[in-house]
Amino acid sequence: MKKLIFITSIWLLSFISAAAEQISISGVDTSGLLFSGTVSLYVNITDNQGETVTDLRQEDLAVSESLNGRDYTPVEIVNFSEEVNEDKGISFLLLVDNSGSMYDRLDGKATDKDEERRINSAVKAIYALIQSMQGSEDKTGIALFNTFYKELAPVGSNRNSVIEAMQMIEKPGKDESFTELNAAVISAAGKFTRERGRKIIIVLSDGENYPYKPVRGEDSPQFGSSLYSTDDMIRELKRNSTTLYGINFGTTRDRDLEKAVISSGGFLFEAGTREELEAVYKTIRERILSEYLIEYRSGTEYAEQKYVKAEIPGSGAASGPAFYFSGSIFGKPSENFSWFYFASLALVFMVVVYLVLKKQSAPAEKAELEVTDFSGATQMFVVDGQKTVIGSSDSNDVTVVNGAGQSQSEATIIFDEKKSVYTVVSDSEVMVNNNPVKTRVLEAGDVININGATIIFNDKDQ
Amino acid sequence: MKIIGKNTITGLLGLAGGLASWPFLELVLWKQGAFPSYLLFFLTATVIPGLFIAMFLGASEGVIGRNWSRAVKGALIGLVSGTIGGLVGGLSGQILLSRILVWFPGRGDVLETAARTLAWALVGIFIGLSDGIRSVSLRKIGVGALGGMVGGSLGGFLLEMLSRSFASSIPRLAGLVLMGLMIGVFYSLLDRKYSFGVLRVLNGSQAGKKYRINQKKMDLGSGNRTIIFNDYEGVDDKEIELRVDRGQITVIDDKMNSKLFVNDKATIKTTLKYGDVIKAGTVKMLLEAE
Repeated sequence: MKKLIFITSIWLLSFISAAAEQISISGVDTSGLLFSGTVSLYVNITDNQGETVTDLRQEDLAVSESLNGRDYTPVEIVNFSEEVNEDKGISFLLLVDNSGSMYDRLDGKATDKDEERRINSAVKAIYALIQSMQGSEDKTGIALFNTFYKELAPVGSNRNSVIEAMQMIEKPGKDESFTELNAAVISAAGKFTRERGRKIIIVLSDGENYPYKPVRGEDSPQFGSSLYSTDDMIRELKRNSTTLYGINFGTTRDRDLEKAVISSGGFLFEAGTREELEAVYKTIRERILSEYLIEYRSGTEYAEQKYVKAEIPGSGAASGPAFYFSGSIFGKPSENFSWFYFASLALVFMVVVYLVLKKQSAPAEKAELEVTDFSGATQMFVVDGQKTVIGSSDSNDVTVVNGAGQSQSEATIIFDEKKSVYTVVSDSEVMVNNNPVKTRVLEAGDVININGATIIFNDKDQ
Repeated sequence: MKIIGKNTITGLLGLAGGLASWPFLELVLWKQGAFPSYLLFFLTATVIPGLFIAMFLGASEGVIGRNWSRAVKGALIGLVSGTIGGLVGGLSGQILLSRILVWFPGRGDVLETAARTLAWALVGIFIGLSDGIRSVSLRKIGVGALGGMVGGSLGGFLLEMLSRSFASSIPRLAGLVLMGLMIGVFYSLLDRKYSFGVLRVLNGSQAGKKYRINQKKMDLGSGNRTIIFNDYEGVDDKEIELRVDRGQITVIDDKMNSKLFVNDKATIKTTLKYGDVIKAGTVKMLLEAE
């Protein structure tokens, strides 16, 4: 049965190519979007035998973009390269299921023999893949997942290190029996942010997403309360311009994995034996190596995500839509922009007029005293009598009290109507403009210090 | 009559700058598809808030001093530094964003918000520079940059949060207004915190008005390049000079025309202490701590 499924998956891949020339977008790279306004597409083109079509020219291809997935507009292709991944290399992250069932036999039965275990076949197939990369520019990393996501060797590690890291794979313990498939793919995609060029995750699993939290009813020891959906996976893969390939290597299938794989531009394979697994890894790599790179100038219209299609004009061959995120930091523009928005400038004008007209100073309109006591409290007193007594008694016109234990002074401001002058008079010395005086004619702006208070005398006439 | 304070004026001008930028930003966003390149659109959109907020805040010293030529000059310098700030901040923020994602791989949303907040902090720095450039004061440049950075990051964070949470024009308006307000308020608060003291006018038409001593050299007189007292008799074009050296404030009679008095004593040069009463021509001032 597994053999049949494997043949079907390889055949299906061929069938996609078999109708005629077939074209599919397997990756979208938006790293040039801000500075050059361009988007790069990784494209597979195969003939009716499933063989890669070579020697295509830029003029043979057309790309169109859509804001809504329905109405497409042709865009300008600015660069075109064939087998670009051969020169630049591919970054692979091999994500391997290390749940308990991977230690069963290929037919799902339990075994104590290492060589019969699925994990053993997976390790050997990965070893074969790494061997096939000798002499290439490809980079590899490997990570395991069960209840935890564990990176054994980061992408870009020495190939021998990856092989050595595979020796560290151990059978999971009792608390590691979950299959955090979605969370693992998201974690793996996050590791790719530091990589440029073609980025591929190949996830091998013999089961389906089986997260810790819903079963145990408590937060996952690694992923906390987060539960990741297929859409979360797709979003993270798009964010990191990463293509996900999937390999079902067991009797159970994850129904949602295929959606994530297809959305990212990848393909889901079935494998039932070690040989089939090796063939799948080989097929995936060859498929990516033969990709074309099409760089096109993206339109500047706003859309949170934009859809793109590639086609071979005249042949009827067109890819399915791929999409990428293109939102700006300012969010969605107003759908109903109104020129009345500029009416807000009237409010701005009002603020400016208010600030220009609003007083920042208060010139005296009559003789007055501004009294600030030692606590910082300020009071205004109008000096409208012949005599204004400043002292510590409540019966004084202006009461200012020194601290306890300190001497209390008293001063009187006398108004001379004939000369229209105010004079401060005191039995003991008070400070006026920091000079000790017993009597002094006051000018506007003079500062009197008495009983710890600062008193500013101001007068309109002066 | 209740008088309006410097912090309020600066905050309101920042708010007005954010408000003024809103319809222009909405227009740019609406016409995004008409831009020949994504980069040009991005830079234009980033420059607009910086340009307007810096222009309004650049005018603040002139508005506070009722010196309109100074206000216009400050606004023009603000316009230039805000434009540069928008360009530098926007591009730096984008580059920073890509670097942060490389340095700290993982979930994108939080990091994108952090990077854009930093981008607005950079824009805020350039907005805060304008008054220091106008007055050729390194101290004011430093204080302005710090105030702009704090206000820009706080306001930018709010703008980012509101733009993310509500994809429409009104939350963006709120975000821009808050950003302008924050930059204005923090610029003013830090200017106050790092000032050497305040000269409070005691008499005449400007009685009650306060001038912050926030640079190491300040001129007072009736001329345009000074703190203006052209509504007082006997005040020359450049009457006196204040110098700050190691925290000591010294007043100098530039004209040596015997019009300068400190505590009623004629002087040509005196080191001041808080509480001293200075008289230059007919204007009297009290030196206070902030």
